[in-house]
Amino acid sequence: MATWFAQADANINAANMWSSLPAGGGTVLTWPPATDDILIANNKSVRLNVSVTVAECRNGTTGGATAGGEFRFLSVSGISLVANCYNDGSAIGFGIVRNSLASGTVYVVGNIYAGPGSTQYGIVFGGGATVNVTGKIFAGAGVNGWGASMSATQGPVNITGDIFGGSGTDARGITNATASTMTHTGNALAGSGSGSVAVWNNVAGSFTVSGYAEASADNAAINNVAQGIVTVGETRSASNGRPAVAGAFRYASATAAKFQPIIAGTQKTLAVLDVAALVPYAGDVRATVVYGDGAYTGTLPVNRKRLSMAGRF
Amino acid sequence: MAVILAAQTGLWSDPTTWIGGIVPGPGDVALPNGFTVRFDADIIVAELRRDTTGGATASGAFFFSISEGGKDNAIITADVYASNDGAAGQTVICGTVTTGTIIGTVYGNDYGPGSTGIASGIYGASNTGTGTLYVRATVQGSRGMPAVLGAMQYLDTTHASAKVRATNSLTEITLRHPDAVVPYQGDVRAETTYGAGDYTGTLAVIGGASMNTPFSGSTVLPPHTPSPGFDEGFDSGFGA
Repeated sequence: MATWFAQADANINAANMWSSLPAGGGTVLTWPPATDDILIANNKSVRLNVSVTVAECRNGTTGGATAGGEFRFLSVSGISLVANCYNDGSAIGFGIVRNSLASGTVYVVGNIYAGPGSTQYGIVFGGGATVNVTGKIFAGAGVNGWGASMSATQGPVNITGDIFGGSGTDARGITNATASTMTHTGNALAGSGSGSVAVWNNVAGSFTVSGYAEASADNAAINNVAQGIVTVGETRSASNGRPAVAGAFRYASATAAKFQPIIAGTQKTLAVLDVAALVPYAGDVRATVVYGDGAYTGTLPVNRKRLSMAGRF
Repeated sequence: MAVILAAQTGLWSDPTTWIGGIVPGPGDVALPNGFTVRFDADIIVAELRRDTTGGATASGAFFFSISEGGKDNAIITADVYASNDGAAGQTVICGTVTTGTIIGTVYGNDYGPGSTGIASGIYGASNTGTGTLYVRATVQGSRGMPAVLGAMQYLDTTHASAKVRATNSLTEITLRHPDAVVPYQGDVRAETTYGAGDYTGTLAVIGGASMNTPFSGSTVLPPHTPSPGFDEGFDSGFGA
């Protein structure tokens, strides 16, 4: 395992791009790096023009590096960044990974972590290309330390992996301020910081969470504050009964929807009962409502003390 | 049933709180009408609303409160409706450390994706404090708006019911616990009791039901020859 430091704002595979020393002068990386190597942005903008597989990408002061910098999709489609990506030193409003590609598709395989400081994002979606992320996304400890920022008009985003709110104030797992489509295969879990939801949706976009959305004692997992369409597989309230979703939402399935609220102090599961069993709900047990007419045979016992009857039989 | 509007901010049980000086009672619909009404007793009404029903102003709220004469852990037997008139706010608010109980269904509003003129934060009830808000059942609005904002608990498993929306067509489905008071087809049999005393009204028997248990009391039956299933203890009330 080796640690390499970026030396220029250039393509990731450019000649003399990576040195074993932050200030240069050390061993120069012969492309490609080993899969267990660590790449440090060293306050440079590293352009992703080819696929790369390493253990980690960082932008902090590891090994004496200068904090800052990013790894950016800019002009090449169809490539992958395979690495766990840590923002531990970006400037305000930047991520460790950014997509600026206008069209096509790019891939990130690995977990993405927002930074400890204010507005140090994990990944920033800013281009029109489709971005597929396979890995978990974590919000940070700083104010507005979003795990992912959908902050400009962009293409679809597909995430496979859980999304976590953070410990910082308004440290959201994902902030969706665009009108694009977000499909999430995984779960969304609220964080502990004030306002640190896993998903914050503020536009007319479409946001789908295939798994469960789980609230924390302090936050909903999803806050749909505007006109977007939010769809979830299941919802789980926090131990204090805080609901998983604030704002409008719908369940993905009319037959597999589950809701785990707190009932008299204990978390229990509400689900769709067996519709085929012709089950009348309590409020529907009333005159003129018929269930399974002719489907039942046998005798009907009647409580002699309480009954009044109307009808024809 | 009467629609009764608040005349001023005050306690529920104070007649001067209400227009006409009449405290709402069973069967009535009560609205805050732009004012703050604190529960100072357990109450029973048909509905609590925060819209323009009866010419009311669609603002104000009913409060569970331990201050200014409010009763902690007041028990409210009523269905509670979120405003559909576009104004932000909640119909019933559980504040500070108060515990509140709503024995009834809390409804979400009908705004959401695709609608216009939305104010955020419109809910049937909310819990803004650190106390516990108990609710018997909830119904999401037609576009998926939840009924309650903030932490809440359902009262019990046997009556907990969440009507929710699913799929892009916004199908309404009901989620319940397996122990809910819902008789399955195979469970509708002798010696099994569901929700005894919970339901009132008239039992209509349709089709070819037969009966083998004697009972007494009044019935409403057309002139008709009783079936062989009725034994000698049956008092039909028409002299058969």
